[in-house]
Amino acid sequence: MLRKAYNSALRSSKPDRFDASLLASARAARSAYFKAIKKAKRAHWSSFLASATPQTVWTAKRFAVRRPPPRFPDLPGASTPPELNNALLDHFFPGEPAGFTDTILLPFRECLPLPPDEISRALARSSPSSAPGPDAIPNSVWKRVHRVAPHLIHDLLAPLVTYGSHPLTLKRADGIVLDKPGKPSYDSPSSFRVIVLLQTFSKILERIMNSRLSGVARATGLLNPHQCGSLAGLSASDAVTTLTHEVKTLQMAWRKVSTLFLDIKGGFANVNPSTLCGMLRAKGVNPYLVSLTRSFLSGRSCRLLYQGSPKVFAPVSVGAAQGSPVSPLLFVIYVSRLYSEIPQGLTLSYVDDFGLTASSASYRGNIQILQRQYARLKARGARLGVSF
Amino acid sequence: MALDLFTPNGFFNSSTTGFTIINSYSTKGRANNTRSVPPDIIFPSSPLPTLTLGDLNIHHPTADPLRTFKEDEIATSTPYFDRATDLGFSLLNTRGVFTQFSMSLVGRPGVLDLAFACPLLSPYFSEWSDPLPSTRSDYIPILLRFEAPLFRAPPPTPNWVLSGWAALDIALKATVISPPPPLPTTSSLDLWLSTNLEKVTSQFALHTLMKRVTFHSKP
Repeated sequence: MLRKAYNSALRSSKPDRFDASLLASARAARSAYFKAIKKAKRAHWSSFLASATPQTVWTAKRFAVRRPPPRFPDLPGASTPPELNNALLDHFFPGEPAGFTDTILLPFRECLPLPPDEISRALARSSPSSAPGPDAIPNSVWKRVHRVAPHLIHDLLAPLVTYGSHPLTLKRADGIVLDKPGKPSYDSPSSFRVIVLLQTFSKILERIMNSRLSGVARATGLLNPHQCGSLAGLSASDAVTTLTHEVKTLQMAWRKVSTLFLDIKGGFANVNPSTLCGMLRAKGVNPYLVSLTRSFLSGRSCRLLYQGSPKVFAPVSVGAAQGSPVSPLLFVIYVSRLYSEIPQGLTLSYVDDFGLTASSASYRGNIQILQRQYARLKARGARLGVSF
Repeated sequence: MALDLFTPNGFFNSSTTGFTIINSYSTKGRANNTRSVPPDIIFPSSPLPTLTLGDLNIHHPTADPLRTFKEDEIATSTPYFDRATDLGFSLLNTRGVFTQFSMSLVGRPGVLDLAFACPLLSPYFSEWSDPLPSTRSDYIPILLRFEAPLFRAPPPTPNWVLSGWAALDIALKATVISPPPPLPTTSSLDLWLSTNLEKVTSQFALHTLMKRVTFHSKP
């Protein structure tokens, strides 16, 4: 009953997040709901303690003892905060960052204009609850800004599209360092992982890039028809349906079918800007999009955040930035070169997961075909800098 | 036994150059409901960070909340805990974790080994645990960990729900973005963007209150 009231109040407050009365009623409903849960929990705990037996008293103790505090990086070779920060940066972003070159920018005449409704569409696709990066401004605020003063975001983004440049200001990210639970020791960077939070304003430009580039990629054959994921209308279920259909078709012809599943190591971090831009140019992609892509992939900096971090931005090499709306598409385009035809078989992928399907009169024959195909795939991957 | 330690470089990088450890074994006193080491000896009023620990042979609900207490146990232990409270000492034990198990299997296990930190020391306290192997005594070895505290508080973040949207809307409508430089370079376009973006975000800062920093705030 209380949950229904809470959900209903939450739904009615969603269309306008800044209506104070709706928010107040949603907050009251939420408070009542969670207070009721808290009360029920307390009553259950009291009754559990009252009926504790010598056997269950240890369970009670386990519940009562406080949760272990979060662990912070404490690496043996790093005695000062900057050393610790550098050790973590080297582990999370192992590549050498490219140096910055100041170049003169010329406007791309063939660049498409940026209408306000394209910005509205990009903002509509962004989640209001997505965690913001160093700017600390959530998407919901940019949505409101665009509703109130549509000229602002347009006037800020249009020159960037015209000049095909993704400025350094937008490429600063926060890296939240979290401990991996259950590790035997926390004196190695591998006991931690990083979640990168990008600036929400930058993501608006990246969504526009994504929508323009995905249209071009389909039209120019930058993508293989058997690539799924990161593209509208090509989900995991499409990949599964294609694979099962192919397997069943081959089985109906009384052939033995085998599939080898592979995963690309590192994923987005392997994207080489020069190689990718070369691929885009070769397929005749509009030069302003190529320039935006090159600019997007280089000159990134990250500020690691953990208790005691020096909180300084350091240049990093990340390939296609984790968490960006355009990164999955760039990665899918990048790995499209790995595709090759398998006679009486199929090469299928979902983002960084590849499946090689082979068929023959015997499973032994399939193994030989798959071994040959894997060797070819590995060689192509080596040329792109990716491994399985 | 009291041990005064000199720390010339400062205690955990603080300005204090020493600290005191008071380790005591308190047995039954001459009178009923007393112990051989009185509370004012164990809990001195000292300008130095002080760690008081030992087998005080007292039982108190603060340290062992699940125990059923006899009246004389409460009467004996209360002066110690009252004195500790008056001077701001904090109990470091994890409540309810037994530190003594009777070998004879007749007596109940108890929380007899207590550790207290004075207000100057308690910010450095990190962990009370019993991970060490048994010494074959009926008392378990205890590990106390002290570490330099993490002084940096998380930065406050804007509370968008409390933004003055009416005033902010007017300010945003009035904000004008200047055109980019005529022949920009990568860095001049970057400077243009950051300056103009600042024009917008400074309006947010002007009309938005900051959230209170909580335990859950990002570092």
